[in-house]
Order: sequence, then C-alpha cells, then structure tokens
Amino acid sequence: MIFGLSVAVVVAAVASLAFGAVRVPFGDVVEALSGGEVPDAAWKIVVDLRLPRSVEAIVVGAALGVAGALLQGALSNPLASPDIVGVTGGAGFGAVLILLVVPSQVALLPLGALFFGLLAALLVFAVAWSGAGRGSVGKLILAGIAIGALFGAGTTAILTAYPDRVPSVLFFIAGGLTSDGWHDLGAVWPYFAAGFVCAVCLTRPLDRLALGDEVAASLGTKPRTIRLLAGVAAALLAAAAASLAGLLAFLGLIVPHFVRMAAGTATNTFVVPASALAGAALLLAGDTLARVVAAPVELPVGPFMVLLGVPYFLYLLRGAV
Amino acid sequence: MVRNLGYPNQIDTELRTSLRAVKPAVALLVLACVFVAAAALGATTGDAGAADKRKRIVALTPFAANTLVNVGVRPVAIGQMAVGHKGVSPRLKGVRQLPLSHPNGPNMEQIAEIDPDVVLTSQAWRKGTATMRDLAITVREMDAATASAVPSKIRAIGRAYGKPKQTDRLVRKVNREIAYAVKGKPIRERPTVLMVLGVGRTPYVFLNNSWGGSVAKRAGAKLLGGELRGSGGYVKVSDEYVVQQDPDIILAVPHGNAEDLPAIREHMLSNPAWSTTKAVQNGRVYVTLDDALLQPNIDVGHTIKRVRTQFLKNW
Repeated sequence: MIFGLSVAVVVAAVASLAFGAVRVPFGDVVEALSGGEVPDAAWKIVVDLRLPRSVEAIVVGAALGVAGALLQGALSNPLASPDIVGVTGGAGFGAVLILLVVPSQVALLPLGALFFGLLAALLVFAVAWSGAGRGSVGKLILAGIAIGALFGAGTTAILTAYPDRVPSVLFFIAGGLTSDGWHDLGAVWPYFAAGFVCAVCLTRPLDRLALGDEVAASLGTKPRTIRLLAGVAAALLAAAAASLAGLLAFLGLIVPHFVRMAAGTATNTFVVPASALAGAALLLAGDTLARVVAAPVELPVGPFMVLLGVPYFLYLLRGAV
Repeated sequence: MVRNLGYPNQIDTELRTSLRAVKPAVALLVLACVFVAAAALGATTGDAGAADKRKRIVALTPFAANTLVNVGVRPVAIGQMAVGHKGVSPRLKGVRQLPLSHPNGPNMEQIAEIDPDVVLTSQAWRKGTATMRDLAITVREMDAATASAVPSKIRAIGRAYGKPKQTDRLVRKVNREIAYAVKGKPIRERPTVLMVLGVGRTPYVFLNNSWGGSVAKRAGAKLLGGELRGSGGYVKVSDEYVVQQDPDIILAVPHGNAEDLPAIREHMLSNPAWSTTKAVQNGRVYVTLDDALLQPNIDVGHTIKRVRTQFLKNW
C-alpha cells in the first residue's frame, strides 16, 4: 500500500504541475522544470508559482496526516485531530488578529498563525499536565476543547469588531494554498522538520502504547511522556500547516482512518508514513481541482478534499467492523 | 341726503368691486380645503405619494442618507459608517446614528425604539429585513450597486420620499459631474487594471458589477477578471491568470489605517507572483484607503475623477 500511495503522490504532483488556471503545454512544463528554454510567462507560472505550491501541498498534506495519526495513536481516540490540542483555534485567532487588527503586518501572517497555534497547544498541555490526574487522555481532550473555545471566542470577537475587513480572512478560514513562492515555506520549514523527525521516532513507542499503559510501561515506555511528545510533534506540524494553508484540520481527522481501514492494520509504523503519503496526495489533488474547476477563479481547497475523500471513506466505513 | 343716498351706492359699488377681487382668493381657499381633506382621506386609506414625504425614514447607507437630505428630506436616523461622518453630508450632522453589524444591520431594539415607517437598506443587511418587516416597517433596498445605477436610484428615492424638482436637480447635478469626470482626451487603449480588495496574498479582485469596479471601469480602466462571475462583486483569481494577463496597473484597496499604507504597498510589491507584471516593473502599484471605492455614494463623479487622475493618470 505504501508503494500505491507513493505512486498516487507522484501522479497528483505531476497533475498539480501540469494543470492550472493558464494552459501551459506539458512539453513546456517539462522544459521549464529541467531548465530548458521556454517563454518567460510559462517559466514564471511553472517554476515560480506551481512548483512551490505543489511542494507546499505535499508538505502540508503530509503534516496534517501525520499530526492526526500521532494524536489518534497517542490518545487512543478515533476523534482526535489537531483541533483537540487547540492548534486550529489558536492558528485561526493568530491569522485573524494579523489580517484584521494589524493589516500592515500582513507579511507576518504565517508566523502569527504558527505562534498562536503553538501557544494554544502549550496552554492545553500546561492545563492537562497539571494537578490531579495529570497527563490523562480525558483531561487533555477537555483542556483542548476549552482552550479551543477560548481562542474561537477571540476570533469571533475580532470578526465582529471589524466586519468591513472580513473578506481578507475568509480564504484562510476556508483553507487553501496560495501561490506565494518559497518565502513562507522557507520561514516555517524548521517546525515541519522537527515535527516529522519526532513523528518518525515515536512510531514504535506509540505501537507499544497501543497495548495499554501498563503493558507499555512494562516494556520500558513512559505513556505520559510519549503522549506529551506526540502532542508536541502534532502541534508543531499542525500549526506549521495552518500557517501555510489555513484551517484544514479535516485532513488530520480523516486521513489516518482512511489508511487504517484501507490497509486493515493500525500499527503506527505503517499508519504514520502512510498517512503522510495519503494526506499529501489528497491535498495535491484537491488543490489542483480548486485551481482548475472554475479557472481563473480559485476556490477553497477544503470542499474538494471532502469531495475526493469522503465518498471512499464512507465506502470503507460501511465495511469496517 | 343725496349725498347720503349716494354714499351707500358708492359703498355697494366698492363692495362689488372688492368681492370680484376676493372671488379668486375664496375659490383658492375652497380648493385648498378640498385638497387638504382629500390628502387627509388619502393618508387614512394608505395612499402613497404625498403622504410618503411625511414618513419617518431611516437610511442605513450613505447613498440613501445623502440622497434624502439632497431632495429635502431629513431622515430620523442613519447607519453609522465605519469611517465616521466621512462620506455623509454635513447637513446630516446631529441625526441619530445607528451602529451596523453584519449580517443583520442595525440593532433591532434601536429600530423598534425609533419606530420608523420606512428603512432604506442595502443588500448587505438583508438578513435583518425580515425582522424589521415583522415590526411593521416598510424595508426597501435602495443602494446603487454600480456607478451607472446612481441616477436611477436617486430618482427612485426622490420620487418616493422627496420633492420632484429637487430630485431632478440632483440627478442633473450627478450626471453633470460624471460627464465632467470622464471629459478630456479620449481613451484609445484602456489600461488593464488588477483591482484588489483587502490584504493578504489572496487577490480578491473587483468585478465589473461591484461598486469600485464599475467606478474604475467608468474612469477608463479595463478590469482584470472584471467579466468573471462571483457573488458580492468580488472573486479570488489565480496568480497564474494575473501573470498571463499582465496588468498595466495594480490598484489595491486594503483595509487599515493611513500609516499602514507603505507597509501594505511593500507587501504587495514583494508578491513573487506579480514581480514580472508591467504594473510592478513600471512602478504602477497603488494602494488606497479611499472608502469611496467600496461604498456607493452620490458623489460618484468625484470618485471617477479621482481614479482617473490619481491612478489611471489620464492613460
């Protein structure tokens, strides 16, 4: 299945580079990517706009898939997603704050979303890992819901205070990639890198955690520490993804389930990398559709991912035990 | 005696002369009484027309408020604009202002307290229309969606609630200002203008059917993507399309404060997707906070003139 998903990513990436609002002959696309002679506009479109956007789609899709897989594995909760650690609410608040309250600092949008996404996650962990029953799954989930609601209220308050400025923030809330060159990815790649490295290191401990806290502890794994690390890694990945592509938390919820049901296995050594590939393929395909369906108008990518992913997910769910 | 006998005759003659002179005045008085009685009867039977002019009117948009005050009607309240009194006639100073919030518009308790007969609103506040109608208020959408709709909307408001002569005078004035604004060297080749709403990398462009888009088009611009369809007059277009269309001018209408303009312009100029466009190469990227490009108003001629001279530079 890993091979099949890798092929899907490659096919989706080729489609993402080949199709867009402007028709560029496939030969020119290949020429431009290989450094050959092509018209300036074609080179600009393929190399400066489509290539960074496709790479962003791969990274963001993979990050959200992995974040969801880590959280579902660590919390043993099928409904866990980046929302649960407050990242989505925090990132949304950060973006709205910058776009509406201090629009002159719009260049800081990705870092603002990242900062508040991580701040929300930090608050969730601080609450969940303090007092009686520290580090318990129930406490983490409740803290996540409460902190998420807090930032959600802040977002609503800002939207209400600046109704004339709301159009600027709609695309971020709906979720979608922008043709922004390498700049934003260049600013947040360390967070992706740290999150992915953590995720790779956590796959085996998470498999042990799946056997139950007591069994995991007897095998030398510290359940609460693993949960905390998985939460931190998921927060890094989800916040970095939100900073580039807005609020697409749905991907983090659905992709790991999709992978588990399609492969019939729940081992994290498989689910985590497979979720990365499936998330990347789904976001690439969704983004390509969002760019070409009503071209030159660009639509939010969220509905297209739902359109692509949900029917197959429901089909798998129907047959699931 | 003769003198005495003759005196009444003289009086009789003078009286008859006076009566002849008074007759038209009496006739006029009788006519006036009949007219007033008819008007009063008309009002009780819900007849429109003359009675409408005495209605308590709330104007939520600057367009409706300015139209009313220019055709001789003072609204009982106006919508509070985000930009304060800018864009609203000084003659409306002292009129109660109602804060507006999306998507309902005014606070319904305040509306109920004012108890107007008519609320002139716009499409933006449509969600609140049903509630106002439940309060037995007549609600009419009377905002000019595009520059070309201004004269007809002024006529609609003026004829329903104002004075015909003042309405005609206002329409003539607006048409004169528009004609003056587009006067000058004929435009041989219209510049392609990418007109962007808001901030961020996402270019929401003004369409031909938006207020700002129609103003720029009237000023001589050919809007990039203007012919596309999108609700609300704005749509997000692909950067690839911007590169392909290669606009001559980029005109951004973000939100923010005047001191934010340099930073916002810098951000727009740094957009890698736009770097090769003629607009960026030739330094024709403009950022304006001019609310007149977002908010319909009756001084559309001045706005067209401003777009033409400041941004299109009589292209």
